[in-house]
Amino acid sequence: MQPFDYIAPQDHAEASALLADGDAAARAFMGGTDLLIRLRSGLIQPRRVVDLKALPGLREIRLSDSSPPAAPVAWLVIGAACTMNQVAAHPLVRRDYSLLVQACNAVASYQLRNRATIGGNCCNASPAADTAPALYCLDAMAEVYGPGGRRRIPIADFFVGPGQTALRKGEFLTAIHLPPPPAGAIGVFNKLGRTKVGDIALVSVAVYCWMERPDRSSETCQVCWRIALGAVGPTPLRAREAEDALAADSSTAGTKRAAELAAAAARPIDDHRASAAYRRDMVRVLTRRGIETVLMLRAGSDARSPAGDQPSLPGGPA
Amino acid sequence: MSNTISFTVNGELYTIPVASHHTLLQVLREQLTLTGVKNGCEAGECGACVVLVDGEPVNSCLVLAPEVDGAAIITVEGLAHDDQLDPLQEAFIAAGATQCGFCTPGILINARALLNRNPDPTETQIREALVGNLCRCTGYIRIIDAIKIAAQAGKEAAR
Amino acid sequence: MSQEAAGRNQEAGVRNRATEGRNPQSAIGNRQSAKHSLIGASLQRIEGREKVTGAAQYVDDLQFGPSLLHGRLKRSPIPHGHIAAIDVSRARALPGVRVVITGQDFPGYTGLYLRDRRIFALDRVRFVGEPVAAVAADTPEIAEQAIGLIEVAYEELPGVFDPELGASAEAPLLHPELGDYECAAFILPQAGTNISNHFKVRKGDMAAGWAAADLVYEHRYRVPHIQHVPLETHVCIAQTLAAGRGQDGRGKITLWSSSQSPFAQRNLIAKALGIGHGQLRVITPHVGGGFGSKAGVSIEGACVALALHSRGRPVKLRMTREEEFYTTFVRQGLVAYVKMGMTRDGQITAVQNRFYWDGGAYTEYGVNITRAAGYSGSGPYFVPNIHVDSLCVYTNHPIGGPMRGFGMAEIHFGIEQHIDQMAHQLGLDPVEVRLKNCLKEGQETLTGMIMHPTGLSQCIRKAAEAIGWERGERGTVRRPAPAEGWERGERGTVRRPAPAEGGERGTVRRPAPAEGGERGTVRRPAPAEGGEGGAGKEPAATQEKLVKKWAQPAVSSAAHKRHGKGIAAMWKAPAMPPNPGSSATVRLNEDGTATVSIGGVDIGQGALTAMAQLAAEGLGVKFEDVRVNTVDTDYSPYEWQTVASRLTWSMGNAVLRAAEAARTQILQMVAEAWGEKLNDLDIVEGQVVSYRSEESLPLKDLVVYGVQRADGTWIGGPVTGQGRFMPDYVTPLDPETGQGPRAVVHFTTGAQAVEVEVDIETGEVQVLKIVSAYDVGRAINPDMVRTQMEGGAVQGMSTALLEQIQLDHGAPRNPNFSDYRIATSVDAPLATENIIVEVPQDDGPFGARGIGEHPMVPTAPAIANAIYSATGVRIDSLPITSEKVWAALRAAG
Repeated sequence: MQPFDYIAPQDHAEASALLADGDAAARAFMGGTDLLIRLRSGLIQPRRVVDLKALPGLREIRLSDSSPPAAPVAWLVIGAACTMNQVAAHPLVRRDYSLLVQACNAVASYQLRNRATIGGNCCNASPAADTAPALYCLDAMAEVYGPGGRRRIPIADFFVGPGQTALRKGEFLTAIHLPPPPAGAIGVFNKLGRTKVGDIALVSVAVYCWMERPDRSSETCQVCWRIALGAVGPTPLRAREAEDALAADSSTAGTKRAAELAAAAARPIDDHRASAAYRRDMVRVLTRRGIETVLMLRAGSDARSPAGDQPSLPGGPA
Repeated sequence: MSNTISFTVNGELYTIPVASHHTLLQVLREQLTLTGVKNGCEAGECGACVVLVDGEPVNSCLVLAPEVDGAAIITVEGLAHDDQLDPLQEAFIAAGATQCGFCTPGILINARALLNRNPDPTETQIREALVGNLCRCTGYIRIIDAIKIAAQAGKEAAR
Repeated sequence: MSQEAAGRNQEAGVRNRATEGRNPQSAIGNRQSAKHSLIGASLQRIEGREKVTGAAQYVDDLQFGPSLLHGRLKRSPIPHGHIAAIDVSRARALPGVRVVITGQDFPGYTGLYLRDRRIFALDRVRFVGEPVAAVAADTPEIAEQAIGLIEVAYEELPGVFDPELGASAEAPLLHPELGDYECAAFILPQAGTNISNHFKVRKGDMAAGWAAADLVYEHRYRVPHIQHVPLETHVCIAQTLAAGRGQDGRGKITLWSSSQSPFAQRNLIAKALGIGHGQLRVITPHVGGGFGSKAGVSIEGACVALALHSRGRPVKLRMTREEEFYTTFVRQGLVAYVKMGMTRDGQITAVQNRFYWDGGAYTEYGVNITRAAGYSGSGPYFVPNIHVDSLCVYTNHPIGGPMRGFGMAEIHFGIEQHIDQMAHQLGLDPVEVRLKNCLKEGQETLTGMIMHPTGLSQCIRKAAEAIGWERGERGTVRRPAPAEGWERGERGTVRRPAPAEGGERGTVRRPAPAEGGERGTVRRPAPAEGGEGGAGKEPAATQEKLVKKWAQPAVSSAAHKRHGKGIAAMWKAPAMPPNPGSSATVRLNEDGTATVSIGGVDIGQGALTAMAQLAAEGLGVKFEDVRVNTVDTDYSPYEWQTVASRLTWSMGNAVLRAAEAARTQILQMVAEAWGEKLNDLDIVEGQVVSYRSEESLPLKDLVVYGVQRADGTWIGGPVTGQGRFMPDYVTPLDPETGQGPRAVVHFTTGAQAVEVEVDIETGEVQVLKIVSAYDVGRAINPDMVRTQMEGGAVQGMSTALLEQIQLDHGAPRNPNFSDYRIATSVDAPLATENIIVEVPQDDGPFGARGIGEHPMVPTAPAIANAIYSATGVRIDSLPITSEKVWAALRAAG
């Protein structure tokens, strides 16, 4: 790599000022799993690399004490520089957001997950980003700090295009906020690669389901679904038509139809990894499988408790 | 830009100047001549450069030198104690798990970390723990065997 | 006994060994059988501890201090063009840059079998990545900057990216001077074309062969470029030393090289530079994998070139992983047209194969792969009527070089699917068809060589048995989808389609009926050993039974999964010039230990250990008392190359002879000192023993200082045994027919059977089990043989399912591990079984034959055959990605 300066600012304002300086003269650095590869190839040649990991809160996972007003339950705030392993191992994440646990554990290898960060995964903004479909399903918010102070961006607005985020000059991602989990939430993340494990996604699908009661006294529950697709568009995508169809009909035929709608919602391209036609059909297959697994888990957990214990789900390192 | 950092490697304290743009891999191999750590791709994909940083395995090719200020690092040279090989090292020899040997240091470190956090892994857990360590010679079969042997030896020692 | 007589005896000992080598049983019989405990012993690798502690040194680990310069190569971004101008002035001016050189500085040609390449492109570039200049600088960063400052102007030329097109008359000529290039006698370049070698086999009577067939089938198979992917990339360091200045004033050059061929590197580079062999010293420490990529010369010429101008500072040149993927050697691509005729009871009557090798920009090594494929082009079968055309074609692609298998994996992909497909179409068991046709001892190969004793049939049988082939599987009957041009008959019987007009390629042609039954003679093969596969066809009832047995998929683990089993056989001979030599010395130390010096390299295959076993066995010392040196051409004896799976056999003979020569020296001096007969003495576990007097003496001291006689005088002296081996029976082949009495030294044969599970929704293939069975002659170290089988099987599986260098107008799209995936620990099969068959090699040490390459040769077709068995679709190109399987399943409906 060509020489550069390394700076580890201690406060947000300093970091922002450093990143705002010059024409891409400074690069944000957290896990480095994408950045260092680009530095080594000479694709980018910044004058300085700004290590954000030491900034207050960036490596913490905590319940928010400043949730949106009128929210009865706290959000979970995950510092942007938290590693995949850190996120996947945290008791609150495991208890309430197992879909995100699965997603984090799908990244590369254990040792890479000791460096790759959830914030870096979002800022790199690959359409194949492993955590993105889960974050879309969970309605995550990206918290950003910049010259104008802090702001929050819905995750679906944070991803703007391949490799492009909503970050403005001098801004950096500080945290991912997850709303409190709804009752009976169950999520399944499926990923297809060229090797069984550890690959970049050719296609990924997150399916998420929960119960909503119109009011506390009502017996009837409404089943809500989220289906998010990765690696089949310029950004991760929600398959909203599929979600609505599934909410109306989650029988075998309904599942099949929802999977087809999800495939129709995908916008894949041909590239050196796979063709668009294959990807589209794999969306159908992975979506169907994800829905089937969710339904199976829901049936299992319904038998245990109406509130819906979190069933143990696949995905987890040793 | 040069930064002076202090860190331990295999229990030895070092206080040395490092370049900002050098990786931990370069520091270990070139400044400390710990050449047991190997360079296979410099992209975090092959695992030949894996070392323990504060007990956790990382690809040293993706860690910038200034980051390890204050850290405790273990490389393959630090697995044996005096002349006593780590049970994993013994098992690798016994099971024939080493051929060209280039992937071996990274795998030993990763396997040591695995057994530290999970002393009795299943075969699936072993395979998944090693998915980021590429081997072209052995087909992984003896490597998996060796880790099982070492895990078993560890369980027996604990009794 | 006089010195002279002792000398004669020693010679006689060596000479006897030479003849005894032809009959190892008698040689062994002379010694106590208990002493052969080291042969066939699964001893631990002698360098194991070094490797697990990180102490083993590879080239990049060697320390050279702050004077070390870092080399980088400037590479062509275009696949084909003239170099209009090179301006290195800005690079030269960059502070810290010490050397800048271009093709002008080193215009000589080099090459192993065909001298068609230069160290740097001079006037023309022929592949993306071709070096056009090099720099050496104080730091890697400065070297990288300097490369960016070299300006090269190109005039792009139209490129050739397909070997069939490249072989045609319309293609632009990539090497107009082909006719002027020096080449080995057995290489046949076609001047005025892009064909750098055309190997032909013409044997038998093709018309009669087709006429005798009940089924003729032709198909095209495609194998892309792949790379060896050694974990250690190519790396070397060169330094010119002022001391030892030679006549030409250039001084002595030392090259530390991660190499499979230190002596070949010395030879080729010395010739390219016009210096003497004594002026170039090549040192090879541990090597982190090669698989053929580190044979011959690739970057080492450029590194030495830099060192010649660096005023004595050492220069290191190390390939990044990206460079490794396409700028050293790759395995060349292949387009293969396979055509086979078979009787309805499964006898092959004729084969016509045409191989178009995508040799790349320079084929100095690839021409021999073309040849090897040609003389192996029948597959491991008896084929009485056969034409093979194996063409090495220049293209503007990366340089094709030796990769494990040397053409065999590529050709067997087609051949082993082809025979499988034909068996299916005839309603026959693919295992039985192979057993019927596989070469047996005494049969003629396609070049007219008589097949030596081989365990090929055993390997096929045992592999099939171990995978559970005979078990018969439950489940629904799935009839394989008919191949193009075929109609689905009833109940598995074959209906032949109407003959295609003109018999175009790709369609099936019904053999023309013999008129009046004459049309030449049909040569029937000799009945197979044991009476199998003899004349006459199976009764119809048995045929049906066979169809049911293996055509039915097993019960699958889920609705969308299918299981299937496949088998493939293989053969391979060491592909060498007719005179590749091995030599070795065994030197005794004062403490009674032995030091073995060899010119071959341990690249992970276990050569050091195998040689230690052979030396200890030949000498009579304990295994732990033998050290084996790595290679330094100033001190090591000559070895042709570490390729071709030849070290255990060839170098092993040399080591064994050297050890036995040392043993003879020791026994002769003790015989004289003790007044005993040579035949009554022996060396057992480091002790000289007399079976007559029961005296014994440790080797310590006497092996250097000699033995004292009764009268106080001394006899003996430092003991050093030397040995050499070179096969003396390989004959040239007729350039028009490929025929000759002895094309190769021998063949190692084997088979692999695999079980796969296919997800029919995603096309993903999981390999559940791989069974390998190989005839290794004699396993010197059975466990090391098994580790070769395991590693080869997984590498073969990886190439089958995952690997391809994606080339777009000559530019690699995926030179990195992100997009060139290789098998990981998760992909390795759930189970492997390794079967060692031992039919001795007549001139191998204790009957041993090579095994290094063979285990990865049949894996891809075995997997393809298993997928066919599971799903009814056949994939005729590699890699068999999940998308390809998915697409084939969709197309089949």
